[in-house]
Amino acid sequence: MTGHPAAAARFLDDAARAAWHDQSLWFMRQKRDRGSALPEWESLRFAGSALKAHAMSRLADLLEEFERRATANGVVVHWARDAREHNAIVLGILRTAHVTRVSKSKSMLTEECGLNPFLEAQGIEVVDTDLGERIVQLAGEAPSHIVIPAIHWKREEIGALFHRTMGTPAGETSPDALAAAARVHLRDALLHAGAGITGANALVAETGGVVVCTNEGNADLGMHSAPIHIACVGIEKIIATRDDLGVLLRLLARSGTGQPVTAYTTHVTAPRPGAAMHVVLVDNGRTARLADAAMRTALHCIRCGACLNTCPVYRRSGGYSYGTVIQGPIGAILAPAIDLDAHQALPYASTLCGSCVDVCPVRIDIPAQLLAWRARGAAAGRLPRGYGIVFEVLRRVLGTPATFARATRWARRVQRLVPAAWLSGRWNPWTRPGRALPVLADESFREWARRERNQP
Amino acid sequence: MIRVALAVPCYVDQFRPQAARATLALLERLGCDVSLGFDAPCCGQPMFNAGVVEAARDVAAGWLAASGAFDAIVMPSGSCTHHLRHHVPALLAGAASAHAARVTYELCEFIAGPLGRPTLAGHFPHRVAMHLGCHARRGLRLGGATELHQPESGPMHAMLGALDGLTLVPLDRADECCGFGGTFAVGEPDVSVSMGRDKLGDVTGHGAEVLVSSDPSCLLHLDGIARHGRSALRVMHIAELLEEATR
Amino acid sequence: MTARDDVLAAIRAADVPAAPAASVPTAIVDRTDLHAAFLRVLTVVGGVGAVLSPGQSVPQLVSELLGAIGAQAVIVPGRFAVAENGAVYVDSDDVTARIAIVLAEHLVVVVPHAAIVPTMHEAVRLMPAESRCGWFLSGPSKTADIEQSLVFGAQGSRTHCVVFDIATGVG
Repeated sequence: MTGHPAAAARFLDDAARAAWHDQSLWFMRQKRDRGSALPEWESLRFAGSALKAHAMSRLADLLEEFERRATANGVVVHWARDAREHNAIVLGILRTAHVTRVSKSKSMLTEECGLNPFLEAQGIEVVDTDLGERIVQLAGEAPSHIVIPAIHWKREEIGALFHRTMGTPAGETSPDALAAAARVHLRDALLHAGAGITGANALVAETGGVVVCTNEGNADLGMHSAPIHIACVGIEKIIATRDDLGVLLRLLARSGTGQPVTAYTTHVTAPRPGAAMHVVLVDNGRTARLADAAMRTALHCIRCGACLNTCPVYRRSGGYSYGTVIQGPIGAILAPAIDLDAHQALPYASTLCGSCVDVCPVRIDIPAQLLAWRARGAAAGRLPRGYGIVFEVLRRVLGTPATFARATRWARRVQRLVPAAWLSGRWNPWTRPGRALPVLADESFREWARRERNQP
Repeated sequence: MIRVALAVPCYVDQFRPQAARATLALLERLGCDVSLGFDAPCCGQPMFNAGVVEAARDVAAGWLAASGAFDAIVMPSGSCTHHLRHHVPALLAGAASAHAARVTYELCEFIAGPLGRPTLAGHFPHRVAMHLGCHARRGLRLGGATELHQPESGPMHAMLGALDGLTLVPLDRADECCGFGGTFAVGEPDVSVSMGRDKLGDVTGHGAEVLVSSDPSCLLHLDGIARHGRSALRVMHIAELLEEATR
Repeated sequence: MTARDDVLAAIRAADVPAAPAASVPTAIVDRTDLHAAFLRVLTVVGGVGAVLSPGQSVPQLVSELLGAIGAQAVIVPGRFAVAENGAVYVDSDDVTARIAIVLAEHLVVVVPHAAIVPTMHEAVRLMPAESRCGWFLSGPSKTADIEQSLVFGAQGSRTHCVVFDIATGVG
């Protein structure tokens, strides 16, 4: 096995840890269920879906409207076709201002663009300021969950990491004490940065506002203390009106963590006196996705993380098993658009159970797109190994009642003659993890019906 | 007398014919005139879910040809019914697929709906855990979804709840997927079995003696894990349970 | 072609079919005592709050609610409160420096008693049109990034207090 199935198998090797991971995320799912139990929740989800579809249908107009207002307010708006242009724009801003140290609050877009390694290679230090992101950054890892980046870390491990990197007492494992140490560490980094980079949860065309949601307050500490604020934003984050923002904010935190709203929801339209504010609008494959009618709604994603939390596969395979910046069900439909060869296994990393659609605050039909990606991969000759032969055989066997009857009679003969142990070898993925082979009945239903009911 | 055709999916025919026989017996007991003349092996769901669309279309075409002669078709499988209703009409657009989508029912859905028997009188003195397959639950909406803040409900739940002596055991994660997922079961075998073990742990942890499902494909997988672990759990298809309870 | 032109051209070439603007759903909420509802949620999100009694001063109430740390609290005016999520809206025009909102260890927001709305649907319409920066603040800074244990005072305020002022609304 390679790709996701192999990585998932490795994750499951530590059964106790996998069970802990599963339960941690199930706990999030339950918090989401409680937090989203509003009488109008379903109509809110429909509104969330509608406001995103509307924004996508007027994307160019809304971006221009946003740009017009933001520019009038003294914000510098940049456009980037791809990750390389995005990184170059950010570097240019930092170089011009002689910045050597930046703070960065959570931004999946900058992860997607590889901004951190790029800036570090240019001699600019980047401190990720979300606590979870800082944990994985100090460990030299990437986030394993878009909302809870260090969900796979245990407190003892965080204690050891902080002991090594921040000098906390050896053996300290109390979340309060560790978070307190991180507060000092991160505030220092935040207040001494030459620029504060943030992502954005939304851009509002009607107000020209950049909306940033955090619980820790780290985005605000970064953007309001440094002389430069740079917001790096994918173009699909735009929404039309403040009414849309109201709907979005009611959905976002409830879906992600079960909170009624994040502790800090910042709506910023202009730099503070004496400071500079930049917004970098990034395409990086989004317009291609927009042109792809079958997959377009994946752009509606508001990155709440609910589909990760509910996904029984994500919970039992961990974020790294996906090998992508965005993990879980949404990641499995986003990644193939970027590189179908590299991510052909991801659309298969799902049972199509449909839980992700039902928790999605903007009702993205993820299973439909998983199926569509499977079909595209198959059409492009990228079926998982062995599937081609298996399904060609099945197509013939299941083609007519006669072929089916012949093939199954033959299979039963094999079952009688070949010892079960041979059929349940290590090579057989059905039995290998601990699952007995299904047994072909001595008499099929059709045979029984022919005998008992005189069917032809 | 209601005329209905019994459509037996490929794997039920071969691996669980007793579920098909129980479906037949139950429908006849409920006064249906059941035709066994539906002869197509498979609806094409396995190929479709794997992305092998051409093969899925070929196989589904045979199924649709068999469907044309009937005004009501019952299948003892939620996921096959879901495939016919929600995928085949797009795969093979036309009158034949629209007809099949309209007349094909999952067993409990048919008994509670067209037959007008939301509950059956019967006796089944056991502790039973119910597993509704995801395509029946979230695809056909034959059960509540906790994601949508719905209580457990639906025709199978109501029928089980009405049987004398039956104790329906509550599960911690009643609507969590069992991990079968078609090709997923062999493409992602480790996650698949891990999910199945968790499902069985939930079921036996609540003291259930019987696990019942309207989806024989989920049962194929769960039964395999239960047999591997030499579990005493009795794994049944809903048709088998209802047939036994109403004897 | 600039990147801007290219991106906008690619969007227009994608030819997305028109989709109507979303309509705001009707929130089904109990509007009888919004202050009580607000204070209930505020407690859940880790804040404290109360309605000022006649004759009572803001510092008096703050010291009642926060004890000794009340004296160190940074007091800012809030424009309005949102009952459904315990949030108060603070605008940067009303504070000396934006950073104060997150730098303050203990933050007190004084909101006019009458300025409360049931949900975010009403709240977003009250955001001042000319605002340069504004916040919805719901409880103190928090994190659950360490094994999902909730810790207050992650990086911003440790204490978050909301006072409803019947008389003037501004402390």
